[in-house]
Amino acid sequence: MLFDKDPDAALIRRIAEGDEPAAGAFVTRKLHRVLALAHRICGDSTEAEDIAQDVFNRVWKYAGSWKKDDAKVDTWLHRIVLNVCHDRLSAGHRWHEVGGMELDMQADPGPTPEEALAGRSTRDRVWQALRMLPARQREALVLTYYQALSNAETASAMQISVDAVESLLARARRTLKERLLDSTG
Amino acid sequence: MAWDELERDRRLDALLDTVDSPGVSALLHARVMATIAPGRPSLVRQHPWWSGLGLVGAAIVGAAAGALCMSLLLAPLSNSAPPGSPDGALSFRESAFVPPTTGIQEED
Repeated sequence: MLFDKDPDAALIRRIAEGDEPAAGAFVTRKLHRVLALAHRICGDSTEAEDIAQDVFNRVWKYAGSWKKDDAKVDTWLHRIVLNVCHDRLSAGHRWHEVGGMELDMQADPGPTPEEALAGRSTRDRVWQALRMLPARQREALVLTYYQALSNAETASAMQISVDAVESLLARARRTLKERLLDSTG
Repeated sequence: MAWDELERDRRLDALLDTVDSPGVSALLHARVMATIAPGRPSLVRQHPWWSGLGLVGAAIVGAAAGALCMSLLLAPLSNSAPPGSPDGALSFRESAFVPPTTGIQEED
């Protein structure tokens, strides 16, 4: 049973029953992961903090609807983060397309991706290469690589098949290699 | 060739590792902690079957109110005939109503 192996299951059940100390412990345990995912998806620190707050509001609201047989709490939490990101995007936040944050590609749409990456610091080049990935490829990569979810957990969080996750990951990594490795030799 | 691809994967991973994420500030932690709603959740959230119990209760109360209304409406009909009158023996279907034309014909 997933419930038996899930270290967060007892906590989320207590939250559903209105246990405030459990909610506080959940924030302390999960806030850094929620913030990291939101930041890597949207690319903006302030936006990521707003997303994190929205995510925990939804956790308090929907803790009672979490089902142990559906997904681990951590996977369920990642799904909520993605949903909040998607909702904010559809509400008019444009960071998915433009890359947002400190690296604004829209300011100069002329150069190719490879040209745009040239001359930046390594960190900025990687950031920018991530930002230029299609949203679903970026989400799959961030969930598996940075959040350390398995492909199955990523599939559950993204509500797609494992095969689809593997396809997204393969395309994302191929694109990143072309942009980050091949362009610099 | 496979070794080259593994090396490229290793180099890509090393590059991806350069992207860090912001730490959690005390201010953000306090902001999120402030969203924790005080008090206990609703009884329905704690015990979902309570909502079903509420529906059953509402149905019982509704049925009782309907029965009371019907009894109040039907009471004048059943008590309209004075005690001992032959009309009192009429069944509900047998109306004791007499058309007024009968009286007019007698006057003529």
